[in-house]
Amino acid sequence: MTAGNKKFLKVFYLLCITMMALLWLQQRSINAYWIQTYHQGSPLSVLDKYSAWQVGGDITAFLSTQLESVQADITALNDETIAVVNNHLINMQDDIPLVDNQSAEELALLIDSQAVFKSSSLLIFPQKPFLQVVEIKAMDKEQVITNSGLLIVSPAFKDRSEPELIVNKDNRFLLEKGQKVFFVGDSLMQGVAPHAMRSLLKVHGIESINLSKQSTGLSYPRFYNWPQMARETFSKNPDIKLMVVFMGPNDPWDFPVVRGKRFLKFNTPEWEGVYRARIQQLINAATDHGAQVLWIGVPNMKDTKLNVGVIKLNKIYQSQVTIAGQRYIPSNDLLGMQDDQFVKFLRIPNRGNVTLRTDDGVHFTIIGQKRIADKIISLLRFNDSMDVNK
Amino acid sequence: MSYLSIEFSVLFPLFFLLYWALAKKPFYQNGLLLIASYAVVASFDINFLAILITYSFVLYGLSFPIYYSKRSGLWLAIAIVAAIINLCFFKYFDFFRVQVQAFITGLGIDYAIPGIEILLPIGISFYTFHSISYLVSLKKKEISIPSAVDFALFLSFFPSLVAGPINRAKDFLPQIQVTQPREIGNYNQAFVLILLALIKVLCLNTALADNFVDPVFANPSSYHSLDILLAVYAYALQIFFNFSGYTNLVTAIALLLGFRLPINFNMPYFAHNLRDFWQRWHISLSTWIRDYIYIPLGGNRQGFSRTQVNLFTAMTLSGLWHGASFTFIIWGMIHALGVVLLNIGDRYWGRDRLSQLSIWLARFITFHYVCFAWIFFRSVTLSDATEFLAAFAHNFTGVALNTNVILYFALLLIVFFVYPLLAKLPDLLIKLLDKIVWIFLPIVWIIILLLVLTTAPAGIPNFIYANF
Repeated sequence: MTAGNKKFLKVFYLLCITMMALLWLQQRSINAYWIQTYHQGSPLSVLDKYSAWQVGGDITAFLSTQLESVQADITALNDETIAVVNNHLINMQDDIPLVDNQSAEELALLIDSQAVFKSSSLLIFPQKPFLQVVEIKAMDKEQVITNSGLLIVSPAFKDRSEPELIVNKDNRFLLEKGQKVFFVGDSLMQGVAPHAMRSLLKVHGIESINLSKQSTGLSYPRFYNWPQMARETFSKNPDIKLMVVFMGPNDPWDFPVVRGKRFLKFNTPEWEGVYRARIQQLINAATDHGAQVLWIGVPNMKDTKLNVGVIKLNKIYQSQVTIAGQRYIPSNDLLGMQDDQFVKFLRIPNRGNVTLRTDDGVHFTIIGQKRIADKIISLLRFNDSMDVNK
Repeated sequence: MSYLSIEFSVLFPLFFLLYWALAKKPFYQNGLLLIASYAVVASFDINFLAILITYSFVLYGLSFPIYYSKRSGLWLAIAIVAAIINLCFFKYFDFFRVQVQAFITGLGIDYAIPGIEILLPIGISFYTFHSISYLVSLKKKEISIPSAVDFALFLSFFPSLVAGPINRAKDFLPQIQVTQPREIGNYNQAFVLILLALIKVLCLNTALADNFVDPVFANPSSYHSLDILLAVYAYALQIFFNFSGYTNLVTAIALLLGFRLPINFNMPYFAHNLRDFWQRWHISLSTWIRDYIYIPLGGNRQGFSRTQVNLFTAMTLSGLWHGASFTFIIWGMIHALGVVLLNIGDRYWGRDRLSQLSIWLARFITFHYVCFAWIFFRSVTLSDATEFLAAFAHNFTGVALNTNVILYFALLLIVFFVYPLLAKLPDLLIKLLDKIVWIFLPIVWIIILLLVLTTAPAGIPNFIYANF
């Protein structure tokens, strides 16, 4: 055997043994990754019936629990230090930055920038969003598809069908100083939320919490459990009064309900029942804490199959959110899309064709993100000196 | 397909087996490498492969007149222009469409340039750079025309296709054209590089981005100035970990296939001035810019002021190369201005005056200047960058702290001073591994990798430079 062959065998042995051991040890995260990526059971899950195979997963699980407790200790130490610093070293005047002259200028700029859309044939923004009442069509209750059986409805659901917080005639969400907005969603929301948060803070002094995370949705709670995450967030932040949800492209696929059992097929009644139940759980997390929900529909996608999927999801979102007495708004019209067609560019007077979507045909360019963020802001009403409507 | 994905990790040992089964015939290995490289490109988008193959055909055709014709200079110019037009079309079309539209609208003409759906093909910047080095070497007769397969593989060699390092034809083609069997490089070194890549990209890059960088850059005005400062430091580290980690990974893959890629990083944040920084950061790009832009512009041959103009132009172009955005141009200009100022300082106060005074002070200042430039690199728009800077200037009072800055600043300071020691760790580890009998090596690696993978957050992070 030549020296080269020997070296090859050593490396191949090292590669193979290490890879196999890591597949064994990392089996749970690999299975989760597989389901999320290919929407079917991982090839490794055939080994689940052997207890010796499961041990590998247990070892890793034990190790991550240990690591998490170390991380929790570090976080606790950090929080203590931050509190001390905030209390003693830094001269705190107010928890919330005060609205100052600069913000007033920015508000003027914001109104100016939106005036661009005034004469657009594809008018989607209210002509003067901060000066004029926004008309929202009442939801067509007859369109609502009810799904009996698996649907879980909050017991207090009827009481909340007319949330007390909407006190104004124009049907916008009223926010008081000190109340917070909570942004929930996937990578779509990751792009949109920061723009909305900036206007909220700078113009209205409203703080917000953004937990949006890429690759998440309602299909794979073992990877990321939004209803649970939302409940925890509401418990920690009782001052959240509005939850804005924007997610979907990770969801129109088959998913398993019980680990190791068969997958529910996308767009079947069983699938829809479970999916609606999860939407309801997420909404309940908010309404149980006296908060309202604004649910934004997913815009059309470039990929045909994905597009068919999100169109179906939108129908479900719209009906379930409306049943729960909360507000659903579509986003297609904001991006100049009608029907089921994907459109990447939008013609805006004086600006030509503006690119709204990124190359992947899913996400938004900054202009696209801002249009959706501005729409969210236009649906809010602020009970402070800066609200021009007052 | 990401080189960090589970799919790639499972496929690689199989490819490795097949590849070395052909060890006696490098010619067949090259064919296999070309197929694998094309498969990687096609896994992103089949159209990207069509573009790459067309591009390779056209440039290969142009190689002949460059090498044989009497008017080789003219043919070289034609080939380079073709390569650059191809790059610019895919990379800058929309950027220029918006600028031209603004101009037309400014003239009061009511015409909207149609938007065309153009996707940026994976690796296009890198194979364009590979090919320009090839064309110039061909013209200088430093190399002869390779076989079509060897040429196609030189452009698309998958380890360096996605985000470099940039290969030079003169150095890399001979590695492809070998007739003697290839040999696996130092495998302990390769595995240590993979380990470094996993720690840097999976753990550190993601942890820094999620906890310190992304939230602050998304909404700087709600953070305290010290949080903002920490975010800048964290981004400087994040981009280093991301890019140098990627480089470690592909260098390791190349080593296991019997290739050597050029060195791309050499402790960049230890640079004592900007010139030094560019000899340590993304070395294969900065030397490429030097040899194919700065020197052809005239380099330092036409007097002091003309040298500065050449430098400024080359570095600004290097900024634009990173992306069709003013933020990247400004980033390039900040670096360009820094180097020009450094040259002026050297001319009037003596070379490296500050470094001689105190090397640590010089390093500290250089690091902060580079960090300042990173703000523009990271910001999506220019107004985001100015808002970030404004928040830093205003938010010393009135905003609560979000991070334990005391702990992290202290950590950073420690890291800064033990940097030279840290940089020696990989070599130390290689020496240790060399002493372990090969049969036990998997045990060592399984324990190390289990720890690293368990610490890493879920998900496969992106390689930042794959977008450029």
